[in-house]
Amino acid sequence: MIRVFLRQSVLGLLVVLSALTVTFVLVRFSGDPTSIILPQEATEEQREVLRQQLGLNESLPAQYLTYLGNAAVGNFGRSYFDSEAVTSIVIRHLPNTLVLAGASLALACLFAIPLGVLAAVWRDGVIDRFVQVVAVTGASMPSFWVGLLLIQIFAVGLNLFPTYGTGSPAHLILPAITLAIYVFPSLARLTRSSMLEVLPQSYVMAARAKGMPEARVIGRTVLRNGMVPVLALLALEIGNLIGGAVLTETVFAWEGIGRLAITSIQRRDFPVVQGVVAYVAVGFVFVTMAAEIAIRLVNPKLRHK
Amino acid sequence: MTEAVARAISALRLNRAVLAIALIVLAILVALAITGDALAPMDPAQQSLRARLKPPGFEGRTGIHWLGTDAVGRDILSLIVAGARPALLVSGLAVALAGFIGVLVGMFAGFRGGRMVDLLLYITNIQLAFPFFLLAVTIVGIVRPSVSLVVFVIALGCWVPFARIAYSETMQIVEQEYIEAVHVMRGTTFRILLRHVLPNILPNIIVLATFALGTAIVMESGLSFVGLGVPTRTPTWGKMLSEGRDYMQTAWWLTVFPGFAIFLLVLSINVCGERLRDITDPKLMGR
Repeated sequence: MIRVFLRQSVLGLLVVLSALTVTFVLVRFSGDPTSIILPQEATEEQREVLRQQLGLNESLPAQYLTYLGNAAVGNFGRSYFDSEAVTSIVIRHLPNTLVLAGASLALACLFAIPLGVLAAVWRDGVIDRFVQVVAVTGASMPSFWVGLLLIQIFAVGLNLFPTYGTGSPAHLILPAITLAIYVFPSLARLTRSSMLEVLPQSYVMAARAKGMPEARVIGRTVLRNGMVPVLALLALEIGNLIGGAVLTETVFAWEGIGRLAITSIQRRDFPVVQGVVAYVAVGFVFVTMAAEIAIRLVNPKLRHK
Repeated sequence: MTEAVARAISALRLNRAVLAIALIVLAILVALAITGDALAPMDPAQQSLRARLKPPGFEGRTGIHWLGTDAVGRDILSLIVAGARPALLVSGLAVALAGFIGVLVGMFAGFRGGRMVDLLLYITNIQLAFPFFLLAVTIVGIVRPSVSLVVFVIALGCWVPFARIAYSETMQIVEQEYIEAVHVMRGTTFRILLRHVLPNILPNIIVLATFALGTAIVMESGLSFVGLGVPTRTPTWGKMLSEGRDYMQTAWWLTVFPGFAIFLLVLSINVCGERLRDITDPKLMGR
């Protein structure tokens, strides 16, 4: 258990370091930030002063180290536009993304896991066919188009929900459904195939042979063993979800960090972009680690691996 | 018993029909991508102030706009036809690049084993531990979009499965006796990998490439949607959707049809991929 934890920590550190390095290199080679911050008519002296302030006159390795040192204490500088600290901007947007991701993940699990289990239990039955068809179709639809269609039908057409924005619970429903549809296919398919692997095992037969009711066999023996790969996928799926949230939040003008990333990129507000990437990397590392531990709690067999 | 057989046969027939439709759709879209906008009913770049935001079926000066017109009076159907090329070209190139690099790296790692494999798995783990689409918009957004950059970034998002499959299969193949025989006959590494390993892993790589193509098309349209796609003369499908977003209250056809084109293309590719997988690996049939 401790070795797993250590290995994950080293991996996590490397992930965060890579994310920081990639954004640093990209931003440094994308041109002179003073041309973005200062108005066009600014004099060369004004630019020079700003460069001095931002530490752009130092050597690249020195800049890199300063950047890493600041990042380690959560200091990503200030936004080019409203000079608010990057960290506070990110923290202000973070809850919205967490709410959206949580709601859609819960929604996806609510449908995908029972349907995946039933599809495996009644293999080639109606539910199985349905899951297969929905999985293939769902995986072929770009998430932002699903969002646009939902707006078109439920917000513009039927006038049931607001078209976009953040705030009330009503604003959450359509983006949450969009993201849930986005993760449903892989979740349902993996549940199904993972259950199919467990069902023919001899311990399942043993459970049946000793007279355990079928619902209990499925609910306890099969589910508990079959859920392990699903949990592992769920961790990866959260990364997918954040990626998908970038587009979904843009479609619904949902004030989360995905939309923050896009608007900051569009107006070339690089400190904010760097901050978002770094915080997402850190958050994601913790999620992966939590999943690794959860998998071992569910299935004691894996604890010593 | 007979009922089960009958159901299996009807399922097979249905699958055949679906597969046939998928192949036809794919053939049409590939043909459109090759001919460019030559097959478009109207000039996709032709704007018309009098025919702005007209609904499907509107008869304009240049003919009937079957799928309506956009905010500057361009024919939606013609724009969709013109959009087939960038969609397929960018994603096709990206998958080719990802497949080439992934297979190359994976085969070498699988052949050498040991540290090379550890390194490869570590690199892929680092990459998988980050939401890729966020990385993609960051790279393209900061550097500014161009065809080669978008192709490179999408390839970056697709190469990991290729490398992993290539490595794990190569590792199994090089254990076989016939590879040892080639060693004895002093076959070079290059020869072993190219003549003996590659043909064996190719079927799986092709299946993987099919699914990767679908993913790449969705990724490309997503980048276009946030304004980070390849620069083109007429808007790409993703760009059409983002332009149409401003007119959703009045003109539904702007957001429905271009998205449907993406959906149809990706669905056809995925259906073909499922079929290919069943052919190459009958064990997985129906999985």
